Amino acid sequence: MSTTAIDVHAGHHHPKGVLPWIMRWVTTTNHKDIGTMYLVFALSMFFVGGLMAMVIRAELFQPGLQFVDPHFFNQMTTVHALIMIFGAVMPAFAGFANWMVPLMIGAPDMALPRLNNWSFWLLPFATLLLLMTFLFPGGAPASGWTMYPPLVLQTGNAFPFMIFAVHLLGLSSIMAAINIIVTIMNMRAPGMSLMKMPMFAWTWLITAYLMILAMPVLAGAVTMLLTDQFFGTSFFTAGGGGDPVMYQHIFWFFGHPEVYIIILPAFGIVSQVIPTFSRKPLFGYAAMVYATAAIAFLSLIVWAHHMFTVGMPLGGQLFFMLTTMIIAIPTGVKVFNWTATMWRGSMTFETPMLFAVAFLFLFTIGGFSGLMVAIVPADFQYHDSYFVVAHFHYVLVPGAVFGAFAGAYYWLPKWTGHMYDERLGKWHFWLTAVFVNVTFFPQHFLGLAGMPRRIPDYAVQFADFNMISSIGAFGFGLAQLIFVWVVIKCIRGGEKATDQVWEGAEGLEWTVPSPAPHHTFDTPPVIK
Amino acid sequence: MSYAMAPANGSDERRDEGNDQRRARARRNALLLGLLAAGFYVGFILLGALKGIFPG
Repeated sequence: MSTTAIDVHAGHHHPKGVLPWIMRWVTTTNHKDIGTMYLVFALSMFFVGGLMAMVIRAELFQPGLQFVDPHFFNQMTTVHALIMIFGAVMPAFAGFANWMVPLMIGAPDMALPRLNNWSFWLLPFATLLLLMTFLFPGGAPASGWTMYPPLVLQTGNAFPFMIFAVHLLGLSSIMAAINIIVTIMNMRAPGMSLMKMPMFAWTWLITAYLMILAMPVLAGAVTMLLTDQFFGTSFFTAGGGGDPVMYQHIFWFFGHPEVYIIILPAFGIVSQVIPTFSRKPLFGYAAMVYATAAIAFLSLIVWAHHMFTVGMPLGGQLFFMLTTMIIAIPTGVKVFNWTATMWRGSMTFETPMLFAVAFLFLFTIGGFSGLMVAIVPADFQYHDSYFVVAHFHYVLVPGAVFGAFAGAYYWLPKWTGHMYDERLGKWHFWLTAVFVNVTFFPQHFLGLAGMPRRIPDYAVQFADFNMISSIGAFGFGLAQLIFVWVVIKCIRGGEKATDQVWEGAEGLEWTVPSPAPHHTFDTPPVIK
Repeated sequence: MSYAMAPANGSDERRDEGNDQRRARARRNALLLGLLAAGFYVGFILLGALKGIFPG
């Protein structure tokens, strides 16, 4: 690239012209650039997946078939989940990690910057592969995000594209995880011992190990699906001596740690936000670290609680029920410690804190309904009903997504150099918090009354709660446009942010100027 | 050998040397983690080939 086409300001290259500008983002190895790309991509996919949710809720607004045919409805539920998990939530937290982990541990960049670039750029292509299947004859995958055989083998032309997309998404996640681990283990500033690291770095370190253990298992499962479909193997085909239930075991060996891959970084963000706005150090830091590690370990041995109804031996049912319930202990430690951090703190309720406190209440509701579905005999009633939909949406939306919003508002001033519009932020929070409950709480009642999940039509007795849920979903979707406006407004200008930004903020990331310069900690700081 | 970076008051030469060592160690660690992931991938396909290894 010609130097005449570049302005250099504070070490930050501003290429002139469209092509140099594109090439700057394509070839960047800077952790802040890559973090920004992850976050922008995740927000875009949040709206793509959200649009699919709107289609689902529009169809379910009243009984009968209104807008889409059942096959398209199934495509919506399948791709909504895949996009939200692999395209929105995971990349959002990877974006936070890219931006903040090097700043928090005093490193100049990620340990493997070119691998970092590749990790990101696999994502848009993988997502495109998945989304383009909507244009195929027969449409996109429609078997549910779990891709259970034998149903998934009826997918049609979209099948190999889905499998390849999942492989690429998994590869991207594994490379990102490797990079985060080696960065934290090798690039910490002098004096930054592991037990001095901020909780966000800790939760990401543990999450990254989970990703390395879980993502290859998903890749293995879908490779076996591919060979069953195209190469005559019978891993999961009963007619050839295979076992479809084995797919469920393998899938959920990935699938349950995946839940914690999604939620642990949100725990990390909340562990940064609550002490800042309580103006107290995090209560029980060491216990928080050990609780995170315990949750991660337990997540590897509870997978079959997703499939109690397949008919497993009593010993298996008991084992998976009890190990699942034990997860409530380290999770309870975390909820207690966040509450104890706020106890007698000088609390203020700026938008990040509002999202963090709402996370604490609403994630706990998702945790409690998780305990309910963990009870084997009760699960036979809840299984495949809307109760399960309500449960995991409480964990993922007011859990992971609220954690991401808390982090975005918390660090936006550090990223942009401007304070966001607090009034709009509070509007975004309150509308989101109200509508998320209007959307998902009635789904508990629907499930308990017997409404199955993944259906485009339903019996008339479910009409009222479905209508309420759909109204909530439309309100929730519209409220997210406020967030986009807040972010754009914050990038364009606003009150200048100080270096520390928040009165109670502590940590290395608050010692660098706002906005954070393109290159930070070239000379490592010393931690006392 | 410390896993942490050279201190801020160290010389440029010492810092560069530390950087090289650290990056080499990061590459070795990354390779090992990649092998672990590849092992899980191949291992689960091999397990899949052995029917009846899981309960149920």
